[in-house]
Amino acid sequence: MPPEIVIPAIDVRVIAPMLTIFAWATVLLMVDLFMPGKDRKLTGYLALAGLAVTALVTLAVQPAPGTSRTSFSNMVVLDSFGTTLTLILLLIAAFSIAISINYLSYHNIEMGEYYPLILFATGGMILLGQSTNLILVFLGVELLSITLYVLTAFFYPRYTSEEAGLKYLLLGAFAAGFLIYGIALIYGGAGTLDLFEIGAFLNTSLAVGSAFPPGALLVLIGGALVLIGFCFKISLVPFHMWTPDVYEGSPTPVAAFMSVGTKGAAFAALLRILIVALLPFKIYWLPVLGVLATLTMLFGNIAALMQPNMKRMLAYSSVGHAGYITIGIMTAGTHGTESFLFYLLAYALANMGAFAVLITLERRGEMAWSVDDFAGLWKRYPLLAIAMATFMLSLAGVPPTAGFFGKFFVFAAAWEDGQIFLVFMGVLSSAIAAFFYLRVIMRMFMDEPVREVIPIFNRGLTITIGIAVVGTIVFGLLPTPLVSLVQNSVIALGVGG
Amino acid sequence: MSFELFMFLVTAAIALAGGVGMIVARNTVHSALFLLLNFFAIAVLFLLLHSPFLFAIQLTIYAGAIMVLFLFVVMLLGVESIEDRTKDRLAGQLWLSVVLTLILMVQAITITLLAEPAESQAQNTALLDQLADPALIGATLFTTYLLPFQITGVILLVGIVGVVVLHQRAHLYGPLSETEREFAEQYAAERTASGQPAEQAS
Repeated sequence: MPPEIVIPAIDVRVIAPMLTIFAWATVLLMVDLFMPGKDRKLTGYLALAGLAVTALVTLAVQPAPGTSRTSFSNMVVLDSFGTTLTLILLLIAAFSIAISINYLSYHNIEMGEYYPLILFATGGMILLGQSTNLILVFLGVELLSITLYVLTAFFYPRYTSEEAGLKYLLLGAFAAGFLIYGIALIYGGAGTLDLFEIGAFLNTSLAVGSAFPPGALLVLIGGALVLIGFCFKISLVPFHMWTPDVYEGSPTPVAAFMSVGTKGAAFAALLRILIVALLPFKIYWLPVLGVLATLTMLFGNIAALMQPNMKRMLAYSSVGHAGYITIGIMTAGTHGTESFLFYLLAYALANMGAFAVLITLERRGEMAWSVDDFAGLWKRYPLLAIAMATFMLSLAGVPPTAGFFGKFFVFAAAWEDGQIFLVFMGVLSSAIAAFFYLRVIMRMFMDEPVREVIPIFNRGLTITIGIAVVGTIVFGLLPTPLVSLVQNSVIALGVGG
Repeated sequence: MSFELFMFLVTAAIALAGGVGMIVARNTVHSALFLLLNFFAIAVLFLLLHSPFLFAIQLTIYAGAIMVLFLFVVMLLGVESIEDRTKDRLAGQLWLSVVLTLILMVQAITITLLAEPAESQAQNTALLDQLADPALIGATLFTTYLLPFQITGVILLVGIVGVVVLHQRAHLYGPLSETEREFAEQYAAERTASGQPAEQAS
């Protein structure tokens, strides 16, 4: 006699954003099959429409201020933090698709499946930002990673692209091993995978006596392994080795998408795990993250100094930025969440813009993205040079750009939290970073052109660069609306309420 | 010695032998077959733990699907090319593996010793039988774990699309153009010059 299956009540609103994007991607995959000819630009525009619809759905279901909703046995939560993050991720995906549409056909790698894959990856990122259960966190990481393995290897027949895909796949599988083993140990220790319940378990079990109870010890070991798994995804030193190779090999829009999207989503999931489930262990993870952040900031920026290749330089700079975001994560209890979101948006605008400029200069059959290509850009294409200079200044954290306020909020949060040493290291590494960002600007404005480079412009690129420049400067001059948005983005610390 | 204990010891010995054999076998196909032996032994262990469902899953998924995949890859890459294991490419990895294995063993033993004492054998067995009920697993999958179950479907879809995409491109775009071929050859030459293994130009 089989048991009667009662499907529990489901609140569709909680998963509405990812449901929309998954459904759109699946339908788009089939629509694409019936499109005549080899031109796949229409698929790209439809994917953009899907992102817009998803953004509208996200806004329609957003929770009232200070409240949150959970569903599916409390596995997913819809809180204001998740909503804001989803909107940022959708913007990143829209930028990536906009700069891809002509890039793909120009490089003769146009395939309709590219756009649904980007949508699926974005759905995985949204899922990561909303999960409150380690199983879903793992599935979100896998969904995102498997999609990106394919997208990194998309540049047929470039060898570096296949190498990048394979490298990312092998290291990704390695990282997934750490992640899933850590999750298994946490389950063994706490008897649950629910983040809220793990937090409650740790609170009660640590309160009992002075000795370390075995269950809590297992959770501690498991938490460390989960952290290592995430470190690969967000490329913290010393787990960053794959980053420059993979960014260099993959199609430039994919590298841009990865550098901000994956980082944002993985950091959000890590943030939730750290402050919802592992908050009682703060005394343990705080110093570990501090060391990782310091190493990452220093190493990423010093390595970027020596790169003549722009794409690798941006890869190392993204490693460095992961260090600053880590500082934001560490101070999550106070103002860290807000500074994380602000930093993510500022970084997304500047970095997507910089990659877009890189695409305008990228020529078919060339694998080098030399700083030399930027020499004398001011004399030939002044607007492009000004745009690139804005992005470089924002990445370096110079006022009046959004990047300045991003760094300012992160450091202010850390200062308030008493992490004086980290603030010091952050400022020091920013000074190192400023050197290579400013070097690009110097080459553009001071030097004579080294060789003839004709940029390619098209609507998607121009609009992306335009929005990124305007956003970077406007949020740098008037950060108030953005600040109030991120200040209202709160992580749900309990079920309901 | 009860029949169950006897069965456990025999199966555990076979599982261990399979694991050790997999590592020491020189031939990759033999390694894979030893791993298969290990999978079978683990499956029997699941049966001893009153979990017929896990037993079946272990056989179909691991011994069936995954093993076939392993053998397929080994055959595809050619056994001869990866047979040379005399040279230790990562110095000191043998000793590192010994140390890591010891740590794992200490961990396992500690966890076993630290485990809370079982209330009574009979009660546990009854609980196990209840938990291993396939109907219960199915019901849980469609209620508590409904969302992860659905997301897994999305992941599988993405995987399938990815394989098709990576496979189709060569057919869609045909042979390389002149520039692309030059580029590929130049890249391969650079790799050879820098001491890394050269790749075939396709």
